[in-house]
Amino acid sequence: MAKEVFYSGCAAAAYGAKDARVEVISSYPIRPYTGIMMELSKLVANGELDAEFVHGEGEHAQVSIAYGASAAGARAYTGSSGVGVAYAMECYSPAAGGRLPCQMAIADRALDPPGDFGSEHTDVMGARDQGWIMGWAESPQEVYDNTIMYYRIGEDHRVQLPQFCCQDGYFVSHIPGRMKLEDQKAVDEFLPPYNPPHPLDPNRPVNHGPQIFPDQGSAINVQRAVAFDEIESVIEEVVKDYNKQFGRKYSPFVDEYMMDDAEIAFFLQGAHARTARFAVNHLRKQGVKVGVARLRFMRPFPTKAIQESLSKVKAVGTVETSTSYGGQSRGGNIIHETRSALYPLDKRPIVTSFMAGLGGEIVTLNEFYAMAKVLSDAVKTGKANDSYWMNFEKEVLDTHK
Amino acid sequence: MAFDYDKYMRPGKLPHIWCPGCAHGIVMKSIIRAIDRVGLDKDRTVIVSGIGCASRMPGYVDFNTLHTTHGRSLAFATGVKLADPSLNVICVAGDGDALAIGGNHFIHACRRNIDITMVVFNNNIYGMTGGQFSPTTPHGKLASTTPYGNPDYAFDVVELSMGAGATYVSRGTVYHAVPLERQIADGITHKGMSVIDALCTCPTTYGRRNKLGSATDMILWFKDNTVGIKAAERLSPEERAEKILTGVFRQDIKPEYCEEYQKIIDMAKGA
Ligand SMILES: Cc1ncc(C[n+]2csc(CCOP(=O)(O)OP(=O)(O)O)c2C)c(N)n1
Ligand code: SF4
Ligand SMILES: [Mg+2]
Repeated sequence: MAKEVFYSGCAAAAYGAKDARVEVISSYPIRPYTGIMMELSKLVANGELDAEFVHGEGEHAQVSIAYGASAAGARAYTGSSGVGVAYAMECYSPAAGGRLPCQMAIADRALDPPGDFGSEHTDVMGARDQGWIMGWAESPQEVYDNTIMYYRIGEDHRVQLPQFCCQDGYFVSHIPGRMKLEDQKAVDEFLPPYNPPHPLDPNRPVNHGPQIFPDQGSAINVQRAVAFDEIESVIEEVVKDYNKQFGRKYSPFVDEYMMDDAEIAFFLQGAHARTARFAVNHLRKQGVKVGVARLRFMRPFPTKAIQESLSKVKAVGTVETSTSYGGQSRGGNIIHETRSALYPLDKRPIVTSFMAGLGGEIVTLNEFYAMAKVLSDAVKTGKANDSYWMNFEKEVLDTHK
Repeated sequence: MAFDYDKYMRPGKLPHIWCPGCAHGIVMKSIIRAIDRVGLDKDRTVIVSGIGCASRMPGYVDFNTLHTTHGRSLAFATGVKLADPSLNVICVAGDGDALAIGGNHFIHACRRNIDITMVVFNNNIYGMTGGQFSPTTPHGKLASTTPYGNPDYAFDVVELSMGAGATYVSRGTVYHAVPLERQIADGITHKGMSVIDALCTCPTTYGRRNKLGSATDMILWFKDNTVGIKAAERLSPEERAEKILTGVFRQDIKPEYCEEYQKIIDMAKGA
């Protein structure tokens, strides 16, 4: 039976994994991810989830355990935050290259220094080019839903890729929200047991991760790239099925709010989109034609959906929440690919970026108002900087602070 | 006259983050008194830590301090020591930090016999992250990740260090703070890798769950359940099996890493 609950993002991830019937879980504590593994260790200990729970001696071991379990044909689940995500970096490419669809829950967290525990997307954004599927949820419900959907996408034989199932640390991971756990039978119908194409099997020996020569390398790389060609149609299929089966309204790639007649837009991923929508409600009352486009997948980067959504407006501000020091835009990440996605269009909006929500700071309503002002000015003057560091540059000072 | 800790503290960094009743402070004070006893120059002394409750210690004391990444204090310290072997280098680490995520660095620092003093704040648990079992949580004990008892068996820090090649190895407790101070002082003056297994307590995430009584009860437990290695010789094997042994287990003179390295440099330059 489906059930209404009031859960944090951590509990939502754990229950998503439980309902996905994960078979091997590897853990290592680091907040805010710790909440997910603690919830799972309880579920396993209480007999509510029949899975192996392995406590690794660090994140590197954790992801290696998930790799091994997945190679043996199990549905494997792991997770981490911040420096833990960074520490496991070596393991990401082998898992993707080996086409092992394990899942890693990310409750994001700023990297050191100086040991800030706040939410920031920088940790796992650093791993975005390794061949993992990757996207952010904005609520506990979406965390639960994504956990289940990601397995089906990743395990599809046209795809066969691991997944970073991300949520904002604290803003989602530790703030409970009303949500629905779906009926186990219905979830089982949606997500059948993992059918590994090449499991380790003594009766039919296979070799994962063989040593190769340079001339074989590009052939393997291109296969990973081709999997990403296939993936958008798989995601569309899976999201459509999920919406139908469980009565949700997700758009596969870009979740729009008041975009149809908008002139300017905030473009971002994760929990800050919720504040952005409040800001839009307020700004609309003052006659500002603003909308929100929320990115649901960073990998694959959904070029077509982004073109369709953002070509409606005259100016776009990407709200970054992660850093790319020394990059073209003086800070952010999302702006680079967004501009490049829009470049082929005949009529394209001005794109700028806002460095906000770093180190776990809240992106306040006032900050969104300041961004809207910059974007409206850009529409008038036809110009904007590449980036604005919120509260540090005169155009975007939060005067209410 | 009472010992003047202020001379070695950064008062601006207090109050500390440790819970009331946490024994990490006793180990910190033992380290400070040991440094004072040996007479180290503050400016020539480096204290390195990883991440964890124990690893917060360097923030509070007035030396050259490095707060690094989880498990890797010994690797950072190796860099410090090799760059300037005349510095006095002390590492502080929790049991999880030193032996789980940092276990690899731990055994290799021991093997090299580099002149570093490593104090393991061994409270049998990951304190900072909420009481998950660590490599020194005893078999059967409760942790937040082992609600029905720990299926793993613990490392014996002393045996591990000796097996890996550390040349000064001792175990003390926070009940026996003066002998602990003496061991740390001996570890500092010892030329080579020194490991001091400092048994301490985490009443918040370990004591409460395992019903070990108050913070004070947990410290008093060491009085009744440990025995010095000399005194242990007078016990029957059955009596000894009940106790945790404390004292100095090894104090050997062996070639030290930085000195051996210098010999190679000298030889190569001379050739
Ligand atoms: C790479 C990485 N993984 C995980 C963590 C989270 N973490 C912080 S402290 C800690 C364990 C602390 O236990 P211990 O070393 O025994 O020190 P105590 O807190 O008990 O003094 C962990 C896992 C981290 N900081 N970095
Ligand atoms: S959690 Fe445990 S180890 Fe950490 S400060 Fe509190 S008592 Fe000490
Ligand atoms: Mg500990």
